[in-house]
Amino acid sequence: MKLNSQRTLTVAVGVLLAVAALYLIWVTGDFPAGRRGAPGPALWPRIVLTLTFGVAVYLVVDVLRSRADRPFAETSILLPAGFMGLTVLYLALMQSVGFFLMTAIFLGGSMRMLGLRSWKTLLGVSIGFPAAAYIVFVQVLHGSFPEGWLALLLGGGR
Amino acid sequence: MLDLLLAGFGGALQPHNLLFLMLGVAVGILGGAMPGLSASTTLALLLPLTYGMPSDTSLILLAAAYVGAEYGGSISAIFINTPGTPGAIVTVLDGYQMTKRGYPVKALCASLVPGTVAGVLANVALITISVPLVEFALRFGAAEYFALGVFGLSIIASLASDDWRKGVLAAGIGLFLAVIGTDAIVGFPRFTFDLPELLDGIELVPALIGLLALSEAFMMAEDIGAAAHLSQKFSRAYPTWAEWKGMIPATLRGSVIGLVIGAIPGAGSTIAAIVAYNEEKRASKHPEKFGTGVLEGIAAPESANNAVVGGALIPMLTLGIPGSASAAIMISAIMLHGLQPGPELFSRNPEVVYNLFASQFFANLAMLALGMIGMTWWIKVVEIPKAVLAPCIIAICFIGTYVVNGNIWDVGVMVVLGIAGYALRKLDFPIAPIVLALVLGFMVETNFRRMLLISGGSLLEPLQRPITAILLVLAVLSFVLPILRRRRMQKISKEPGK
Repeated sequence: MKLNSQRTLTVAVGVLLAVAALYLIWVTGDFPAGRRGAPGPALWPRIVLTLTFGVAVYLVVDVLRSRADRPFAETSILLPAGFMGLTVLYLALMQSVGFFLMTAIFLGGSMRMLGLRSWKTLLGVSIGFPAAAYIVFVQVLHGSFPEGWLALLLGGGR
Repeated sequence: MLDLLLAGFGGALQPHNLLFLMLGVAVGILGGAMPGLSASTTLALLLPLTYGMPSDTSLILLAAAYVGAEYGGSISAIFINTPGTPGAIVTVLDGYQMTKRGYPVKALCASLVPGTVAGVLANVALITISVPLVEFALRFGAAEYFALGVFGLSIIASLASDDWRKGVLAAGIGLFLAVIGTDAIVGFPRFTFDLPELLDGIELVPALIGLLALSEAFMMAEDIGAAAHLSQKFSRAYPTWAEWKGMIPATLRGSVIGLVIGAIPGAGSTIAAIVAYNEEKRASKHPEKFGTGVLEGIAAPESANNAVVGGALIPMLTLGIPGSASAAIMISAIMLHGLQPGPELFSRNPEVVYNLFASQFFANLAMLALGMIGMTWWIKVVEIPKAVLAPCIIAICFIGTYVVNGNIWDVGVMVVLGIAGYALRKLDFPIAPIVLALVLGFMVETNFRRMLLISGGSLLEPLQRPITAILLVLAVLSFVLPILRRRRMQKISKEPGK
């Protein structure tokens, strides 16, 4: 079975959606069903999930019957996958490292990963972007963002 | 009505509203000019900024950006042969040829001025049509609203590029996301899995930013390449009087086509531009010259895609039905401010509606002014490398999502939906139906249940009401016809010799 295949992955997503829909229909068993003149909170999700299940099964069967296929990714997906990994890391560390410091690290790291070679642009954007965002969102709009280590190092924090 | 309209013009001319109107147009032009950033992505990135603004100002900003983005799309089409927005897809045909011949400024004028005229004409039509349509819609009950919501959802078939099943599954995902949280009628928590953060449901802002903007940034990482470099050697000549005169019929035809197609949910600026281009070619005395750099070939599609903005606002404002992802974001902005989109908006918050009418008019004038001033500057934006642009978009997504409620949960939801959106895009699942279903889901479900409550559980009785029946028939047609048309096209293309 080829992994880099639209056909294989569409079938996988179809199966996933069908199984998820079945599980969620089972979950609606705990919701009040209501009665004929007063439908409860279970009715609408059951309609939506049943439709989703039916169409997902139809899609899976149809794709399996067809021979048409093309690669899922024409080029390597390592770069987008690494970029997504950095994004998840940005999310995971933003509270402990501090929002603006982590934004600078993320920008520098991801621009380098995506192939930017100019150190001037790297440093300019990594420092300039969070600084501009800080001025607009904290100084002007009085927004509050996680401060993390930075505030501790500077001896401040709230 | 005239008093309200005058008050609207007064409101739109308030200094802060004018400032955000200019800002919206400028951001829209920049967003539209950047290949990869569509009008809806630009609006999604602007949405969090509107949270702290008065409701009328926030809508003015978004509507102005929507207007600017449609013009911005033509800039990269004309200069680098890449449509900045889907609506500029046919502008490349004659626009880029004009640039190759050394006349990009003429081509930009053929996009900007007819686009402005079309935008103003569509604005007049929006004002004229909306009020009678609202008076009609005020007679709607739960059954009609349910049917209206189903009609709104039925456009998924035309939004699904190749496969209607993928469109339906995408809509199913959106409808499911919309039911998560406390049920609005009896207050029962659904699919919350004991997570208190889910009791309020999936917030619209993180969901829209994740699905539209974050997934777009991940797609950019696949096609980093080198930034476009532009040749600076070109004529700065403007069109001659005879050339301007030659564009008038194309502008008027394009405006009417754009307005009508824009008002049909799901049709959108791409279809309007293609139809306008084909009609112009058919009406032309020299159709063989189309594609070699004729100004009418730019004026017609550009006036059509600018008129689409005014057309799309008609069902959005009067009926609360978003006809596109951009309109869905504007509806979200209305809801974010605690307002109810649809006919009630006209009776309860007329100042918001009439300010929007007036600001649409001024946004078109601002587009003309900014477009003329920045004629060759805006294009500099395409020289920004994607390796810089994509990380900056992600940082804007994080800041924009966090600033609304100040909690990391929303950022997490945005990232999860962004990654899911990327995977679905890669597998040719359309994103727009998820967004539309997420926005319409609540309206469809509550009115469906109210309809059953009123009718005592009978489905047949509400469906016998004429407006409900007509809307449901239209919904079936709008779902089935694009599928049949696509099948016919596939059959024709498979026939030998075709």
